[in-house]
Amino acid sequence: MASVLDTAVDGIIIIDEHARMMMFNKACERMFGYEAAEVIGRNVSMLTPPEHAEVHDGYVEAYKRTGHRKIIGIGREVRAKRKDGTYFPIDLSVGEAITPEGRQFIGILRDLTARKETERRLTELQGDLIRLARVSALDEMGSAIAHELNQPLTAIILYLQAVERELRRAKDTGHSEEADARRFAIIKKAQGEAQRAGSIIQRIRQLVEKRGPERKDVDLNHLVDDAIELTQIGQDRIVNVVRDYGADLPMLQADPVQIQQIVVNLVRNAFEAVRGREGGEIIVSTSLDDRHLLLSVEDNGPGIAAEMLDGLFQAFKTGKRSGMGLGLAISRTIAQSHGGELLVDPGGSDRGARFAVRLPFLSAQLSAESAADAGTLKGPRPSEPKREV
Amino acid sequence: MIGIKASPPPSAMRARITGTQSVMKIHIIEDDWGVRDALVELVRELGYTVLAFGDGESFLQADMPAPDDLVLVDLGLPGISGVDVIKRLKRLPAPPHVVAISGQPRAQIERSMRDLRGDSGVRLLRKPLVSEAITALL
Ligand SMILES: Nc1ncnc2c1ncn2[C@@H]1O[C@H](COP(=O)(O)OP(=O)(O)O)[C@@H](O)[C@H]1O
Ligand SMILES: [Mg+2]
Repeated sequence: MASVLDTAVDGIIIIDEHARMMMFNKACERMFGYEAAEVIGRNVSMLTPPEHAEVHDGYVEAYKRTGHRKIIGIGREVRAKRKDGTYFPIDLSVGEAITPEGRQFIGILRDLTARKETERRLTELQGDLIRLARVSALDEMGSAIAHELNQPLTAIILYLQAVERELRRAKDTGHSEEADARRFAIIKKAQGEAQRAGSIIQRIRQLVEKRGPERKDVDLNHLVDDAIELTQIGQDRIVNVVRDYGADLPMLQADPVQIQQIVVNLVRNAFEAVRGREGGEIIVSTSLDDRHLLLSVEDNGPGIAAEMLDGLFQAFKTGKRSGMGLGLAISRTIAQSHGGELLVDPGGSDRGARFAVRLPFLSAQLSAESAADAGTLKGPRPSEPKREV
Repeated sequence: MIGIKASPPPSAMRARITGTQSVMKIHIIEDDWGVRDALVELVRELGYTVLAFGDGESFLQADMPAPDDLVLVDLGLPGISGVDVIKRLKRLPAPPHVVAISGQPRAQIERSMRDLRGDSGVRLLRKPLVSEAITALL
C-alpha cells in the first residue's frame, strides 16, 4: 500500500483522529523536505503555518463532534510549511475513512508554487506590456512633445530678453513706477510659461516611469482632463473636444496612470478618425450608473469599418497604415483588470464610433452597506481571503 | 492707421500700438498665447507698432501689410496654414517682408516649405526664438 502511494505525483498524508501523521508519501518528502521517518507519529500541525497550527487540532475535534466540514471533501488553497520554515501554496483536499483502528483522514496535496509563479509572471508581464504600449505611444508623440515644450521656452526667452532690455534702458532713464509694474508683469508671465513647461514634463513623466500597478482613490474627471490635455499635444487644434463631465462622481479605486492610458488611446483614435474632416468633434463624457462609473469617448468620424469590427480588440489589428493595433487591446485589458469593461458602439453611416468604459467603483459607504453581496461590487482584486486548514 | 476693424474678430486677441515714430509695422500671426504675447512684449519694447493675430483668418480679414512691414508667421496654425498665409502675402502687388517661424522638426518644416519653392525671400526662424534673431530682421 505504502509503495503504491509513493508513486503518486500528489502528496498524500494520512492522519489519525488525534491529527498524528500515519503516512507521508515520497511526493510529500519532496514537497516538504522531511523524511517520512521524521514526521510519522507527529502532529500534522508541524506542516502548517503557525496561525493554523494552533487551530488545526480544534478543527479535527470540531469536525468529529459536529460533523461540520471545514475542508473535508472540498479542495482548498492553503499555505504549507517546509522543513526549512518557508511557506508554499498547496491545493488540499481531505477525505475521511472509518477504519477498525478509528477514524482517519486522508489529505491529498498539490504543490501550487509553479502555478502561482506563472500567475505572478503573467501579471508582471501584463504590467510591462501596458507600460510598453504607453512608452511607444509617447515615442510616436515625441516630436510633438518637443514642439510643445518649445512654445513655453520661446516665450520665456523672449519675455526675459524684453525685461532685460527694459532694465538696461532704465539705467539711463531711471525707474518709473509704471515701467516697473510692467516689468513685474512680464516676469510673472515668464513664470507662468515655465510652469506650463513643467506641467507638460510632469504629465509625460507620469506615463513613462516604471512602477508596478497600483490602486488608489482617484477623481475620474480630473484624470480624464489631464489625459485629454496630453493627447491634444500635436493634434489638429481645429477639432472641437467637448468635455461633458458628471458632477459629484464618487471616487474610483484605480491605477490612475492606466486609466489615463485608456483615455489617451481612445481620444487619439477619435482624433485620427476625424482627421481631415470638416467640423470634427470629440465628446468625452463621464457619468454614473448605480454600480459603475462610465467614461465615454465619441467622435463624428466615419465609424468603425465593417471589416475592422471582427476582432476589433485584438492586438495588432489595425486599419491604419502606420498603426500598431495595440490601443484597444491594451485599453480593454486595463478595463478588465479593474473589474470593468470596454464596449463599443461602432456607428457607421453618418455616425461616428463611441467607446464606453465601465468601471466598478467602491465607496466606503457603499461597501459597508453591501458587505453581504461583496465580490460583485468589491474592487478588482478582493484581498486574499483568510483560509483555514 | 491700425488695421483692426471696428469689432475685431475674437481671435485677434491682442494688438498693441506704441512708438509712432517708426513707420514699419510688425504683424505677428501665432496661435500660441505665450509665444505671441512674448513677441508682442519684445517688439513693443524695441519701439515698433505691433499687430498680433491668433490665426491666419483674422490676419487676412485685417488690412494688408504695407511693403515695408514685417510679417512673422507661425507655420503650425490652426485652420488656414502658415504656408497658405505666406502664399497670399506673396501674391500681393508689393509684398511685405515675411519670416516664417516654427518649432516643428526640420523634416516637417521642409515638407511644408516645399510648397513655397520659387518664393524667394521667405526666411525661417526655428523655435526656441531669441531676441537677437528678431532684432537682426529689423
Ligand atoms: N474612433 C474610431 N473610429 C473609427 N475607427 C476606429 C476608432 N477607434 C478605433 N478604430 C479602428 O480600430 C483600429 C484599432 O485601433 P487601435 O487598437 O487603437 O490600434 P491603432 O490605432 O494603432 O490602429 C483602428 O486602426 C481603426 O481602424
Ligand atoms: Mg490607436
